[in-house]
Amino acid sequence: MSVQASPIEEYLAKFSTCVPSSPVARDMLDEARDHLVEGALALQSAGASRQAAERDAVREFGSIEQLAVEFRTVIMVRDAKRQARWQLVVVGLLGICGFSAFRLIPLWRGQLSEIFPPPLVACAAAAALLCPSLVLLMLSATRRTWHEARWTAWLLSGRTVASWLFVLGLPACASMVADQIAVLVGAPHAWLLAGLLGGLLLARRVVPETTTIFKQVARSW
Amino acid sequence: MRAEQLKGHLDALLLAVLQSGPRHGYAISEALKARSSGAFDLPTGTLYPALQRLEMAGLIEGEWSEVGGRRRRTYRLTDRGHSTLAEERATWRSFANAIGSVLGQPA
Repeated sequence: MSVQASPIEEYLAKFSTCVPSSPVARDMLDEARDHLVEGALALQSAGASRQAAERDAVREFGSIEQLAVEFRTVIMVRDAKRQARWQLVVVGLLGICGFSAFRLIPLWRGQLSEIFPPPLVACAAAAALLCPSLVLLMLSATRRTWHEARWTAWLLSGRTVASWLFVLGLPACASMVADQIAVLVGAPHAWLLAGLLGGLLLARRVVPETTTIFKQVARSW
Repeated sequence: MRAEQLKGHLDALLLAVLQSGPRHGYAISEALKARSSGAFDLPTGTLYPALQRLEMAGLIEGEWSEVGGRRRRTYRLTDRGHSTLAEERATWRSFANAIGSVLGQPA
């Protein structure tokens, strides 16, 4: 006897291909599953067969074409907000590391001659990380108008710019901080490598598109 | 009543349904159906983006639990949600009164 596929699972599998893959999307699809199963159970208790109940529950939930646009927008906004928050946390941590490397460590070690202002390029790189993250957070935190098409287009562009700057800028900034630490404590290669790898891993954790961005950079070269 | 006609009112309707206590998505849609006597003809899936919007605005908050091996999110009104609902109700009453006073009287 052949086992019939569950209409609910088929629907959710198809839906998942129409929305971006992210923790927010997974949460929304889990909510949809709970709704559909509850609906199907109610229909089954009213006498419908399992297959018919699941089909009716899916029909009441709405067509994927109809819902995907709204789901995508919400997922995009929540993802952008999450990314902006994490970017700010990472930039803050990097700032603390940079301040320690350029100021506190020399003071602590009594190497007063080693205290010098951070290079201009480091400040510019930090600003390039900080500003887009703040703009992204601001855009994603807007309450009334965020779902309007023009606003979401801005948000999408803002997220793309913030992602690129963060993914390319974080390893560079982390390397600069690591380089300064190396000046103070030695082992420059190890520190540089640690800075670069640490920056890359953090960028990958915060920005899901990190690999895609590096692939695009590699292709353009 | 079609989904387009409900646009702009859905958020307030969801807040009103949640005023009586925490509910999960399916329970919210059933309450909405029952309280409107089935007048609202909208795909139930449209509730979820609206719930997410309300949560992002801080008007409701959700909590995950596990029921029958499935993840379930239950929402409840926040203090801000209660005060927003009161404002929405007042706005709706004055709007309905104004419209009713024009449409309700024959010329």
